[in-house]
Amino acid sequence: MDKVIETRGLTKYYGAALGIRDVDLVVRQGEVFGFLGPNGAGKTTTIRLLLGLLRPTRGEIRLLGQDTRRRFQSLLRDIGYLPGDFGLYGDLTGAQYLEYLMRLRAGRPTPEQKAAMNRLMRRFEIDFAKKIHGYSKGMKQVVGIIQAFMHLPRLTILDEPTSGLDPIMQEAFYELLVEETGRGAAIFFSSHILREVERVCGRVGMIKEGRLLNVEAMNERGALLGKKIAVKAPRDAAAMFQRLSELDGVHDAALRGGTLELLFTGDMRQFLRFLAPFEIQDFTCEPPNTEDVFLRLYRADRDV
Amino acid sequence: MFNTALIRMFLLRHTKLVAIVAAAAGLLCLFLTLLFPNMPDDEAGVVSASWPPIVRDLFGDPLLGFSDIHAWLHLQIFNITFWAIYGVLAAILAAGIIAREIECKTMDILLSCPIRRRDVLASELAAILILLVLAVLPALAGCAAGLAAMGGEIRLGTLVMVGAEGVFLSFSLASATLLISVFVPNQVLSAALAVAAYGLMFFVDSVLVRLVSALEPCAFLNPFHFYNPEAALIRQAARPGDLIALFAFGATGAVVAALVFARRDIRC
Ligand SMILES: Nc1ncnc2c1ncn2[C@@H]1O[C@H](COP(=O)(O)OP(=O)(O)OP(=O)(O)O)[C@@H](O)[C@H]1O
Ligand SMILES: [Mg+2]
Repeated sequence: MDKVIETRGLTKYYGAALGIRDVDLVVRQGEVFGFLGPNGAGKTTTIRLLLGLLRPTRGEIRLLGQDTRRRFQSLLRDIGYLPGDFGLYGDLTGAQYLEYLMRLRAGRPTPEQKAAMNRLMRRFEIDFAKKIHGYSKGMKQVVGIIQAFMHLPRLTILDEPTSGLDPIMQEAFYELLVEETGRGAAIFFSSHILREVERVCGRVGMIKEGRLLNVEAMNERGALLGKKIAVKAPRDAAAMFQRLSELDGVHDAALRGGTLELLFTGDMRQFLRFLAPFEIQDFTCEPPNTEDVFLRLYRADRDV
Repeated sequence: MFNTALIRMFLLRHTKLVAIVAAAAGLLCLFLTLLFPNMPDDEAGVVSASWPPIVRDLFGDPLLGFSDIHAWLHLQIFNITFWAIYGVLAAILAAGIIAREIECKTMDILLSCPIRRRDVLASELAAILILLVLAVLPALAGCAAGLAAMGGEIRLGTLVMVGAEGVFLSFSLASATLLISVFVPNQVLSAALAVAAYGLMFFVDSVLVRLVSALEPCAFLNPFHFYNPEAALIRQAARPGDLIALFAFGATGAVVAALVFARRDIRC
């Protein structure tokens, strides 16, 4: 039972409107899988299909090695879930709500589960004795994260988990992911923040307009999606542009005035050697934004 | 089928509302009972003759009502007031099962717990039944206290019977609300539609069926056909079968709601 999520031809239409189409996903035990896509790409649709909150138009879902059309409830014991947009019972305190959900998720919680809940509450220090309707967005997000992990699930599915978290809480969350995979659990989480996904995920699936574009493993440099490079060389830019074909990993090269712009996914030392003979005024190298990457992947995908 | 954590949480979260309604209903029942005019029969006959038949059908006949305290209880409380209060309460509570969870976006987390959807509905409906039973007690106590103060006979069995009929009728209104909320996950709308439907069915049962004889063969499809507090209060001829029928309405609504809800997309 190595695959914790496996979908085949997963498709969802909302009436006539497309949600997702023919999504084939595999997520394995012990990995953090990032699910990256711009707004409206189909991340939430995919996740809610996995949780059985939506019924697929067609396609199959297997979770923890089992077909979800049978005995789904017992599978849910081993799954944690944080929705992208959720409410909590405002009339309860954070602690009351977590205890209630623990009872629903685990029945009679084991000592390990109780300990895990307490550990999580200490890690994300907020005022759990206060009624939830007095919580800020980030505090609610913390309660949401805790409830998704406290029963020690084998698979946790999170829809944009870091939205609303401050940098300290985000850091605590990333640490939590490392610990969770350390005990063999798998994490599937959606995001539209490239940096976050690059940082914590072992593999990344990219979705746009309802279609899964490709699934990539991080390369050894940890940079999945290359760098956005601009070279200012008023005299040599045109010559550089013509010789770019000598290099591997150049995408979307363009000449703007005296500046050469491109997205580079190849070996950086090779690129620097390539630049050496030219007369360069300025050089910037930065991580691309999500839209750049999607444009590249989308084009590549269409060309295939 | 029943999840105790769900039942307990539903009870906990609605205690305040139910306590307020129950206390107010208790005081109202006491107050209305104390208003008993205790008229001689002939005077009551004059009042009765002055009421148009449709008003008598709808609200009850003052002929007995103004002269017999148990008939007064029927006229003032159990004919309309009682089920209206607990029916609206039941509808509000039932709108909390699906409609509020969806409106407040708490449904996704709830349904990601290892509990079947139908068990969520069954557990929370069970909690509503418990709350209704508890909420009705002060009203019955108010009636009993009023009867004692007015020197009337306290027939405990009768009061329990009409209380139970009210509870089961309200319970069926709760499951009607639940069923509507599967399609219209909006608290106010689902509760209002269910209460309006029950108001209409009350009118059909007390007035229309008498005017349009073609409706008579279908009269048993109306829960009010089985809500007959006058039988217990005035004729002392309560029919336990009515209770079973009323409960069956509630149970049927709940089963249909569960079947439909089990296959629906959860809106977010
Ligand atoms: N209830 C709905 N009815 C009709 N169309 C819907 C519904 N929910 C989602 N969609 C459509 O399905 C597509 C995918 O939406 P989805 O919510 O899955 O995107 P997402 O990737 O989660 O976006 P975001 O980053 O904004 O959360 C969108 O085109 C959206 O318009
Ligand atoms: Mg989303």
